[in-house]
Amino acid sequence: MAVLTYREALNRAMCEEMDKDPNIFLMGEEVGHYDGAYKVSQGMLAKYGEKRVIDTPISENGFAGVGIGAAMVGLRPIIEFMTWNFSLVAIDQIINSAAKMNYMSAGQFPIPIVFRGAGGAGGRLAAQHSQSFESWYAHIPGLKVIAPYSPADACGLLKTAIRDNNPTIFIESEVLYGSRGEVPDQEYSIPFGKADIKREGSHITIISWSRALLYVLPAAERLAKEGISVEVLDLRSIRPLDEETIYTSIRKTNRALIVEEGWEVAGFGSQIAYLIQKNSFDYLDAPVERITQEDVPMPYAANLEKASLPSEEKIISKVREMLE
Amino acid sequence: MAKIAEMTQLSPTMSEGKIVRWLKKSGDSVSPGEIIAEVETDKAVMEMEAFETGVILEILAQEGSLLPVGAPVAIIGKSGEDISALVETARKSIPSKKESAPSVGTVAAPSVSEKKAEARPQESISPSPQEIESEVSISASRKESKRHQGGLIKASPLAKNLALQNGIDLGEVVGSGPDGRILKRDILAFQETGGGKKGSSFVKPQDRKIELTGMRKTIATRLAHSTSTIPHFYLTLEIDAYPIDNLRNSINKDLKLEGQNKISVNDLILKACSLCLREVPEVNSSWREDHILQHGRVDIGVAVSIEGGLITPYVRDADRKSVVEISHEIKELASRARERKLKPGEYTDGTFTVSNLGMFGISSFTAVINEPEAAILAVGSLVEKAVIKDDNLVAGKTLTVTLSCDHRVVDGATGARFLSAFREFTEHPLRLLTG
Repeated sequence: MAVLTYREALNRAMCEEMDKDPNIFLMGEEVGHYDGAYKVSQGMLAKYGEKRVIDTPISENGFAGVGIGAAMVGLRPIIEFMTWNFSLVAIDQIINSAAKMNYMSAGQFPIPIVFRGAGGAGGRLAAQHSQSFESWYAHIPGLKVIAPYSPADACGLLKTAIRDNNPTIFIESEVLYGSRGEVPDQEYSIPFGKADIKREGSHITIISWSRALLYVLPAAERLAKEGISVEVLDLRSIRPLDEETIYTSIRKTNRALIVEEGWEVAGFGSQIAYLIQKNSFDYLDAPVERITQEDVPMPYAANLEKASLPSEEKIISKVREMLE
Repeated sequence: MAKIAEMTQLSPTMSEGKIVRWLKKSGDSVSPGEIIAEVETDKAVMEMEAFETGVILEILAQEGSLLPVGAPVAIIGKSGEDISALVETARKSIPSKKESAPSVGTVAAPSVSEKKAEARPQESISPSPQEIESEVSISASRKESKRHQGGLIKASPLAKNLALQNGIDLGEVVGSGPDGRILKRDILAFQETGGGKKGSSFVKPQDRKIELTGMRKTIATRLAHSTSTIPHFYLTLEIDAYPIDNLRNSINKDLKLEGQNKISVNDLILKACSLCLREVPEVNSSWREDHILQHGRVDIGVAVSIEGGLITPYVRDADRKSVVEISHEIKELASRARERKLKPGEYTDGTFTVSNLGMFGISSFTAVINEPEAAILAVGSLVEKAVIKDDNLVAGKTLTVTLSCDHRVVDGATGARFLSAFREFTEHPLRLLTG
């Protein structure tokens, strides 16, 4: 197995699919001549030419709309937002057109589009450029929301997203682009709605996804040294959600902690907590808990940014408290 | 002008009714004769009709409420009318009592001591809703401790479940979790130290409080009245059941009757009773305090067991109907009885009743007289046994019936005449087809 970075894995997924289907094209700011703001589309302009790798002006509302129109007439666009923060300018296109067109046209216009880009905090990018949008988009029927953590998942899930005939919100993590991991050599894809059990354990289940696993996995490692056995689930796919894996794990551990990068109020973790208490009530030995970003706009100062995000320490102390 | 719709008297014996379901809601238009609600009377669920044309402006009686006949249940009028005064009047006249005394028969008001019992404050330790929910029993003798304040024992859902499965009283377990919450580990530790029933999956059955339905109350009232006021005596007779059994089989075979159409031994017995009652009319009578009423008609009831109780629909003029007619009628009445669709006229005012427990393998039993009738016949199952015939021991088939009689009306000899006629008809059953 080759070791790839997260960005290389995404690049490989797009290239494998574009090689096979001439209807797929990539469009966004800096995706061509600059090789992508985060270098995800490295070499793709040279490979596929200006018709299929299209640099746009700064106009999210415009190029998201162009992408949706292209999808309506049979193309399969991949729209890159430089960061998901800029998708706010195009959110009307995404929610009111992409998500609903197939429904409102009684199935005449499926929208096979992928919106992808960097999400979450990136390190001193401050309040307007450090937000997590999973729960915003997961709220909308008609959208699929994917947030991979490992390079292998990034590749396998992006391929599934490109092949899917529905609009997909593919949220990459800004801080994961350089992370490395083994990626299978042969072609593969990973279905939506399947969580990955990152670590087996018996005392508590931690449910997490994307960047938050950067804190969860080492925390679980440290807790293991204290004799606390943590089961770690990586959802990978936010919507559709793999409920069964969650409940199976809780039937075993009787405790659930949800760790997410976004804010607490109406964050996606609250939906998971609701589902757990509804469907696993009789298996709970403790209240379901959450660790989220602090309820403030992201501070610019490095130490405050760190303090506002979930951390290994926060997770460890919360787990100890839950196992009191 | 808006009018108050009242609880209608839907049967001759009905003094109160329980609103089972509203079929109309506030704002719906109604016209006379339209069904507006389902009401449970003393024995059945009946349909209550509207008598006015208009719109239901206000529903005064909620589903589940038990109200005397004549109590206001809704206000019907023109849309937009001011009915505040009417609502006020109506509300004042609604009895605040949730349940009133059963309506049938003569039932005394609750005595003072009963009233006292009703007013007794709740036990000092009352389980919280959660605890009732999880059906975990709490011994009332438990000492109050800090964690039982307000009657709540803190326990995780999982711990409650384990306690329930293992028949453990949560009140005896010490919680080690936050705020003394009982956790799974506490239940396990409790079992380790020999508490509960270690490792057993025995669930301690809980007491259940079953609310009385109108039918249950009626059964209780009427049968208690019957057994306590009527001087019952019992006459038992064993008949040779071969003839009637053979006749039943050949009727079914020769007429190619199948499934629902087949006639039963019970149908033939009912026919036999109708002819016996014509022959011994003293049994077809009712005690009327200052006289005995000998009925000119022969209306025989069949006790039908239904969900939550029993009911006795009547085959009218059974003496003038053929066995096949009787059979059809019983099947039809029984099926409507099970659906609670009988009209009061169909289960009241008979002259005699037959109760058959043969299908349950009961060989013989005694039945309680169904007032105001003078007798009831309890029919057992067909039993195969050795009998003496012409001085020889042979395989026989017998049927045992017991006649319960009201001694005020029927004397022993009269009852015996009835049963001897019964033997004649059933052991020579062709007469049932010609009588």
